[in-house]
Parts: sequence; C-alpha cells; structure tokens
Amino acid sequence: MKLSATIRRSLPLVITFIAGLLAIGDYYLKVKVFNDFITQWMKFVNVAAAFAVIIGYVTLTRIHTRRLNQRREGWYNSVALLIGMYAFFLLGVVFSEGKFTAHPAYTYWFNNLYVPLDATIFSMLAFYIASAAYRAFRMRTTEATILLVSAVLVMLGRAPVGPAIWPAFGPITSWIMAVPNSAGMRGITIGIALGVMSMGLRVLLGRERGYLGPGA
Amino acid sequence: MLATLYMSVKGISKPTIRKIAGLDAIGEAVGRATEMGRPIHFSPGIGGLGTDVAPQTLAGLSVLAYIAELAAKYKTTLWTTIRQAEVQPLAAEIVRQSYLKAGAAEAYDEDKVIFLSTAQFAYASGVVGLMHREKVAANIMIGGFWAESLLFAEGGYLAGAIQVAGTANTAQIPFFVAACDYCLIGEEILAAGAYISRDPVQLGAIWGQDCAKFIAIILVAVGIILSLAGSDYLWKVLRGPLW
Repeated sequence: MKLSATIRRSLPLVITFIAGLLAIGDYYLKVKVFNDFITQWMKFVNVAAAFAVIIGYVTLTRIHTRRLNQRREGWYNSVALLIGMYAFFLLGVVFSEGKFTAHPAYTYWFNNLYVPLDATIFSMLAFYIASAAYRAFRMRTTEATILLVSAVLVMLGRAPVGPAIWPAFGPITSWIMAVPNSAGMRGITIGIALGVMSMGLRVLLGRERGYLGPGA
Repeated sequence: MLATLYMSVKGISKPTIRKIAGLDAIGEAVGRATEMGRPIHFSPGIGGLGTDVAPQTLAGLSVLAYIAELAAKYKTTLWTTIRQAEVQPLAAEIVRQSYLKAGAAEAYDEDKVIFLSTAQFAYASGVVGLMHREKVAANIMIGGFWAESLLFAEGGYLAGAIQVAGTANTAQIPFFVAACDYCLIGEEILAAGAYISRDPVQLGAIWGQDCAKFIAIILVAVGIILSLAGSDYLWKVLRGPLW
C-alpha cells in the first residue's frame, strides 16, 4: 500500500505530537492507570529499539561482504570484523545454553578480547589531551593566555607535586573551579535547558522538521 | 517562548537572530572538501532517540540534511557514521532525500551511511580509522558526545580536516573548543535546525529562548542582590512547589 505524500509527511509529526504529549503527561499527572500505561509503553519502546540492532548487523554484513568480494584495500580487516561479530553472536545467543551474555565462554572472550581493546582506545585519550592542550594553550590571544594560566594553576593544584611546591596551589585551584568555572558552566547549562525547551516545543508543534529530511 | 512562537506564526513579528559562526562555517568546510576532492565525514553523536540526549541527536540530523544537500550539489562524497542502530535508518533516509532534492539521486550511496558499532570505543576507533583511510577534508560532528569527542577531534586534526563540532554535553565542550576550528557551544546546536531553515516561525522560538535567557539573567541578578541583603525569598519561590 502506497501512502499519499500528505500522509507520509503528516504521520510522523502526528506520532511525535502524541508521543510527546503522553511523555509530558506522565511527568505532570499522577493517575495510576495512565502512569502504568506509560511505563509499559516505554518498555515497548526499548524493546523496539533493541530490534534496530538487527539493522546494524545487516548493514555491517552487507558492507564488509562487498569489501571482501571486491578485495578492496584492507579487506582482511573486514574478515576479522565479520568473524568477531558472528562469533560473539553465536557465543552469546546460539551456544549460550540460555545464559546469553552470562555464559562463561562469552564472558571469557568478552573480558579478554573486547575489554582490553576498549581500554586501549580509551587510554589513547591521554596522548590526545596532551596534543590538543598544546595547541589550545599557545599564547596567541588574550583568551588563550588566560586559558593557559588557569590550566597550569589547576593542573598544579590537582597534581600532588603542586601543593608540595606551594600549598596555596590547592585553594587557588578550588577557587578557579568553584567560582569562574562554575559560573561559566551554569550559564551554558541554563542556555542548554532553555534550548531543549525551545526545541521540544518546535518538535511537538511540528515546526522543527529537519530531522525528517529536506522537504518534510 | 509560546508567545513569540504565536507572534511569528501570525506574522506579528519577524525575528532575526545573531549569526552563529560554527553553522556558517559548515558551507566553508563543504567547499574546502570539494576543492580538495576529498570526502566529508559527519557524526550525529553517540546518543540515541530514546534518551535525554535525543534533542542533540535530532539537532545533528537536522544539520546532516543540510550537509547532505550541499554535498550532493557539489558532488562531494559524504560519509555518515552511526553508533545507535535506531538512528541508522533515519540518517540514511535523510541523506537519500537530500540527494533527491539536490537532483543527484544517482550519486546517493547507501553504504556511505554506515553503522559501526553500539560500543562507544569500537565506534570511536571505526570513525578515526575511516577519517584516516579516506583522508577526509572536513569533519563535522554535531550531537551528543562523550569521551570519544577528543578522539574524533584529534583524529580529524591528524587527517588534516577542517573541523566543526558542537555538543550540549558540558564536559565535552572544552575538548571541542581546544581541538576544532569551529565549535557550537551548548544551545547553539539546538538552534541549528531553525538557523539553517531560516523559517521565521522557528526563528521566533529561538527569539523566545533568548527572551527567557534574559529573564533568567534578571532573576540571577535579583537573586544575588537579595542574597547579599540576607533574604532567601526568591530561592524559596523558585524552589517550589508552585502550588
């Protein structure tokens, strides 16, 4: 069945409006039947979202199978990805004897293969922070100089060596974090809260349609 | 906000909002990629649609529609990487429609809207790898980002890309400010859809947001004066309950 252009354009907006009203209603209304319904509905949303993982599996399989067939550069990485992805699927679902991700074989490979890889990527942040800080802290402008001075003071206050050199580094750091830093962050947070409210209003009323694509 | 929205709908006022350098720079970034004959990378963040980060993801998708249209117009390759499976079909459809609108339907390649992984750092390594392999000339990141923000920003820098990034996650904003060429701070990403579309009604809502911010500033000032005078009246009123 082919839907008309008007329905295709309006249906997502109507669903968004109703879903938004239900979620807001759940927050403000204390009616047991209604609140219970929303709780169940949210569970349904989570379950439906979980099924979207299948889309991920299909997409990855299609893309990497094609890379493999065409013997594109780095095709062996696609082999590793496909083997890893389906091996975890088999271990966690098919051969898990009903224990799923709690099965010892799954947890063994997860803890000894996936977790170290994850930690490796995360640990790269330390080096990236150093290189990004080097670029950001160069004294090219007044703002960059203020950033450099305050960052050096905070680093000295947070590292054990700082207070050992001069005890005042600790209180100075606390003041920078509690006063100018908090003030700036709160200003940004208030702006974000108002921005979310404004966007929520636009989405609920169907004015913000960019996420539905051009021409929606 | 409702009042300004109403006034905009009725045409009572035609609001204008300040320029947002980060959003203006997106066109420049796409142009640079076109001139260099290298691709663009876009990420709508790692947040899903069912969490409190959803507004940021939606804002990112609004920007994606704009970038995809520009990329289709200038025949520049656009890579869109996705972490949340439920965002994948939405992003793919947005890119497809944008190519259709630009009259370049044949240039749309569904394999360039790629779901990488739901795992945060697996996704991060996939994105960084893609930026290096494809030698992207522009890296645009708008949405909810966490610890991977700096991995992406430094990965993009090392690939030689011009970078435009924005998030409302306050802990990640400093990383983007430090490592990217242009940064959208907090609420600016949420205004992106309205800013790009130039729809007067949406701009009215942004104007209302600015009015609310002005009221917040007045309340903060009054609160400071009352606190200095030893009164906690305003704090008690705002803390509620209102009824």
